[in-house]
Amino acid sequence: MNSLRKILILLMIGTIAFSWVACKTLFPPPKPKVTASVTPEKVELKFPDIMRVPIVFTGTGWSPKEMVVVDLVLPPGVEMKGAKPGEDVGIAFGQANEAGSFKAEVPVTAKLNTLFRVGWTPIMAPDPKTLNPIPPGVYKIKVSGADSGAMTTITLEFVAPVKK
Amino acid sequence: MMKMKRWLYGVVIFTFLFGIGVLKSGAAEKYVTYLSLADYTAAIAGLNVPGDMGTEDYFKDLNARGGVDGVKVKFIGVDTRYDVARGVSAYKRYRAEPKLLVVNAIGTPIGKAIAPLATKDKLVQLVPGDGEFQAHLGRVFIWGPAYQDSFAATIDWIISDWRKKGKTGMPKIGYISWDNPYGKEFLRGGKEYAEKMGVTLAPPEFFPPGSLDHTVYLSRLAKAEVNYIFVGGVDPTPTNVIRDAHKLGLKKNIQFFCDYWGPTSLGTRLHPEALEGAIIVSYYIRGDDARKHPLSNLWVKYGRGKLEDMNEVYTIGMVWAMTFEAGLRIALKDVGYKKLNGEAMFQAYQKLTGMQRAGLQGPCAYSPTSRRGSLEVRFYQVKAGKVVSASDWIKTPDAVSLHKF
Repeated sequence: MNSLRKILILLMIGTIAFSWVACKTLFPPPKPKVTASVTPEKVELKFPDIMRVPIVFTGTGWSPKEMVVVDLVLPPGVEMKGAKPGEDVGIAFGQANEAGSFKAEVPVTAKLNTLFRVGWTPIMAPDPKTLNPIPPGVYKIKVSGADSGAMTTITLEFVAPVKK
Repeated sequence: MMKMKRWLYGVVIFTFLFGIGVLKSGAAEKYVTYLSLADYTAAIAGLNVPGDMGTEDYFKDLNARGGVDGVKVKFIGVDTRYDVARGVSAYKRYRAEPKLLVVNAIGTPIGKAIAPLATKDKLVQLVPGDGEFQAHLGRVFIWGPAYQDSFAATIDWIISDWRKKGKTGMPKIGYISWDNPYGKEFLRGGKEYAEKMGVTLAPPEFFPPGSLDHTVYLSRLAKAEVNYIFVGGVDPTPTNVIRDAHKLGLKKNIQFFCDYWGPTSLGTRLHPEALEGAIIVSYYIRGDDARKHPLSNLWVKYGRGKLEDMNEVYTIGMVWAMTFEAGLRIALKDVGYKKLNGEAMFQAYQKLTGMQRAGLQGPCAYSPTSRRGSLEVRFYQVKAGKVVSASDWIKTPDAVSLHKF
């Protein structure tokens, strides 16, 4: 009887150990402490002037050489070509250096496709008639590392063109 | 005794529930994932939309036939708008999809950007034609012969044409394309091949994608007294460049060539006069060769429209899917579904040497030492508004090895 009890206890321990190992991925190692900032913090949605304004993200604490991705979080109701509702949209990316610092600038294509939601003509030119800037406001920006999984959020304000 | 019975019941019920859970997860439908980072609404949508229609339809058909040994393919297509930032972000979003095996980065800049990530993830990555990935063997495979190889094949064609016309010496060639990594790739080895063959290349002309007028660039090439001009860019760009050349009267003395992404039959219908005589170097079948191919019936079967309106790029999409199917078959045989991952697919892709794809493209050239999707090109010519065959399959020279990457 005692041996049956021992077998049952061992079976129980084995099953629990298996479950624990299977669930281990639920508790990943701590992520590095990362920072990010953007310059300028306020951008005027004025076309074509915005093309000449560098929007640059920088940060520290990322894993050496990892790709850092910058996503614009779309508020509810803001539609974006190529993105499903609720999906974030990539606007920049950069590679961290050995010291874990990165720099990423918003390219012209992202300014056109995302900030101005432009359509393209059949001859592959951005169609100025379709310029449809995102609504002005303070937008959440997600900055995340492709290797470390580290993530931080900052904000970037888009303001309506100032009438002169 | 009573206490013992309770223990026994407890363990039996616990083990039964645990077993049910395990069995349930194992009983789910077996599938693998194919990710396409494409452009459905921006600059190169004309290429990407029909291409991915071909892939999606072929997978639908494959799944309807039961998949590969019961394993079905999940197709995920993402609209990156030919925007590298969106491409990288989308890759990061989908990289953890279950059994993701292959990512097709449609567009040279996106392909180059995500290559380090896909390599770290040990996936198979596909890119259009960058010879760089043949020069540095890794996990990135190109669709057909490298761009520079196709340019070298065109140089051979030009020299032969020059001699057939009874001319002495060597012709002078102009090159015009987009000012981006794709536009410049052809000359990374192509320039060296021209030198090797004794052909003079005029200083190349690069213009931003989306340019409305190309006369300035074309006039410079005309001033350089070129005999042939090779035009890059995804259609309708090459159509527009040749249309501008036609307006300038350059077509009288200069023969125009286009690359893989030159005018399709749909483009030639719009500008038949301007495009008349233009030659297209292609690694896939075009025109009626494509439309009359039995597999093109999938276009009609899956409700894409009339066969005469099928863009030939649809066939490339089917080739991506056929290659994936063959790779999956090998990988499943090698490691089984449970252990199937990007590494197994990578090993399988290297075993596809010589695989036939129903004549839509030359035989597969993937191997442990080759990342080229095939080695052959065909030349097509625009005649009376139609794209007609002007050659059989021709093996391309190796121009990649001539360049230091």
